[in-house]
Amino acid sequence: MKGMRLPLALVLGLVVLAALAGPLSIHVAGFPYDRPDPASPLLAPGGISVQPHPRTYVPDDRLMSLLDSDRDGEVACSLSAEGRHFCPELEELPAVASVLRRGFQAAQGEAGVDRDEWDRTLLSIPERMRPRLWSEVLDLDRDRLVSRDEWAQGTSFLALDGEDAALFDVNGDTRLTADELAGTPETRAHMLGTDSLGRDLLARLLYGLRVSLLVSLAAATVSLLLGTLLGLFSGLVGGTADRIFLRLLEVLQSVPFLFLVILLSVFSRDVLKMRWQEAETAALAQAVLLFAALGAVQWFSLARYARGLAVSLKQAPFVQSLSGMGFSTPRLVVRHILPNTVLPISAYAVLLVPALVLEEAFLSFLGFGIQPPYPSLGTLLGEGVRSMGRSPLLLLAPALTVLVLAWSVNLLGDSLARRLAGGRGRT
Amino acid sequence: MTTAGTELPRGLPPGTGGAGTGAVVRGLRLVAVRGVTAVVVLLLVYSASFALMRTAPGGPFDRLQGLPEQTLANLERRFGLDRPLAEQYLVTLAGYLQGDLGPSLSFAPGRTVGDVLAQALPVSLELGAWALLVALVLGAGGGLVAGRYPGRWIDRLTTGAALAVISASLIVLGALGREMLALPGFPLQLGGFDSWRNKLLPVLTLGISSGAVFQRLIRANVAQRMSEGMWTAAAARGVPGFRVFWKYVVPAALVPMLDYAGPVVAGILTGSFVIEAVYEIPGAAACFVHGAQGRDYTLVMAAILVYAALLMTCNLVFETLHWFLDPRQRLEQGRGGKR
Repeated sequence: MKGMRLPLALVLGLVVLAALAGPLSIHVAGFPYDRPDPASPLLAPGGISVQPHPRTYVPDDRLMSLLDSDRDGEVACSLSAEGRHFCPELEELPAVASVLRRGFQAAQGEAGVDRDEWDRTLLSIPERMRPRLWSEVLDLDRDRLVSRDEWAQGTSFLALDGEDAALFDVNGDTRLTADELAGTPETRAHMLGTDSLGRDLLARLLYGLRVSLLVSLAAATVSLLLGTLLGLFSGLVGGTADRIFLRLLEVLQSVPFLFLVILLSVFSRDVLKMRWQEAETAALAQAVLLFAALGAVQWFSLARYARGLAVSLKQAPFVQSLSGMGFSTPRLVVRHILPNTVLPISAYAVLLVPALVLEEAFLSFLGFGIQPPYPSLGTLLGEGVRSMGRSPLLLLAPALTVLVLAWSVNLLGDSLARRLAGGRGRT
Repeated sequence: MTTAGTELPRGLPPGTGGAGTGAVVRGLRLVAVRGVTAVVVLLLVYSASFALMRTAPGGPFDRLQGLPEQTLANLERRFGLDRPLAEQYLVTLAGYLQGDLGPSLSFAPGRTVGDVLAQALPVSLELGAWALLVALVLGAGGGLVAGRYPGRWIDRLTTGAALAVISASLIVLGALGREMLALPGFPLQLGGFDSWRNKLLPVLTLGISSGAVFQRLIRANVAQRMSEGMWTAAAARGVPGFRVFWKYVVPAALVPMLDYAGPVVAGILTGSFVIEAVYEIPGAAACFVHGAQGRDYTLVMAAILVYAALLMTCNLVFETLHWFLDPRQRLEQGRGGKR
């Protein structure tokens, strides 16, 4: 029991996380798994706070004086037909930003722009914004130069648009007051960063865990059913049928089914896409089909195990003596043999799950498994590998999840099997 | 493993050893039966992949956009794709029997499949062979040490490491290896497979990953042998521990491992898909993947059949080896059916 507690807790924890992926991704991660964050162009892949962007804006009570061009003490907006915020006072910001960008690029030297040159650029933008942009303010490291980072940091508020206004507009009256512009307590940071399309990694990871667990459980169920039923049946019947079954297993085990599964996945994808127009339905149908197929070619060793179990139970002294006492065969099988196979087979079957999780990861990694828009641990690993070096978290997060999942389930299965073996040894 | 196996008969009870002529004949018959089965299975694999490929929508020329109808029709006629399916099935099969794998349709137009595979297969085979060697050395070493001292720290260390490697999966190992390549001043290279600089890391990754599977199998087997009575009996008679271990336990535990060599080879084969993708190696697995996506009927079927034949040959070789090395096999087979 002692050795089982940690893996059991880890497995249960991961299962709960996967089951609650929906609410967790909305309330904890704060983002859906399949849609890019609108502010994502500001974020590099894997970025958590690579550049400041309005969502995580440092509260700034001077913002109002910069934005309020008509000096009425508020940034007034109106709602468009699609429910978007349209704010005339924010409309001139892109123009200002491009003036500043041009000025910066024209005067840019090795390490940045000379402070005097920068201040001259400011003469061509509205006066009320200048106090915030003087080189005196921007040159944080006091090296008499406005560097690229200092420039990006200082002018980030110029990226504010109607969409951000909607976020700042806490009470929904379409007027932004100075208090509202000072920022809201809601932090919209990506806890694990974003992927290359600007989608939240944490939300994708939670959904990926769910998809991976679902498909591997489905595949494990298929192979458990096939393997147990056929194996037990063959072992109990015995004789010629049993010998033929064993030979068949040997032959089947030498067939490279993986190739056929890959072929099946490539082609079923196209068939299903033609059948169902919506990508999501087709992707889901394909996932189910594919992993049913995967389960259907993974039951050989389980069948061998179940058969061995049935044979040894058939010859066990207690069964022999019951049979000698005149118990009918069906009763022996149902009441005495089958119940004794449940525990050993479940200990063995637990080990199927991590194997199938890794199998799923393998297929999805190569692009044959789960199809977009669904994430899975395998597709996340694939994306992580492709963007390694730039943003290691994209690989490390799914890799760690796979590691913990497979490790704890493996350990659980191992210790279950060991306890069973120990128990049998003592009696 | 082989040298250890030749000592085996001495470690077994009298009456079970000795490969008489009858046993050899039975062994040859076994090989013949397996060979015939293999041919039948290959035929089935061929049929299954043929059916899968031809029922799939799309064709090898889908990527050639904007061609006139007539050109496409001409292309199909040139490669015999306009014929009835039954005829295509037989013609392709006849070609295979004569060693002609046909032209590549979309992966490498203008070249024959035989040509493509002749270039790609040696790369994959070399990768697999080196990886198998690494896996054998690591797996046997780790498994023997762990099985020799079950429950001790060395057992926990190696077994834990093996479990971690298996759980991490080949993809993560490969990605970490690839990340190492990006370190400044790292002497190894990425891409291709023509010098030790770009061979070492893929081989090690694949080898370690497969070695972990071997370690678990061998450890379980050795530990089980160690718990059998002969260990205690021999110790009671004053035989030194290392002698019992190396002369009796190791051969008895390692020779049955030959049965698992087949699945491990299959695992290496599977792993080469990932390794070739991660390390950008132009091997046969990469050919298969691209061929399947481009509907290159001839290339995909040839690749499947070559791999299937390879896998079955490996299985056959290992099983035969087991048969000749392990007298118990012959005995059990003689009695009919093995447990």
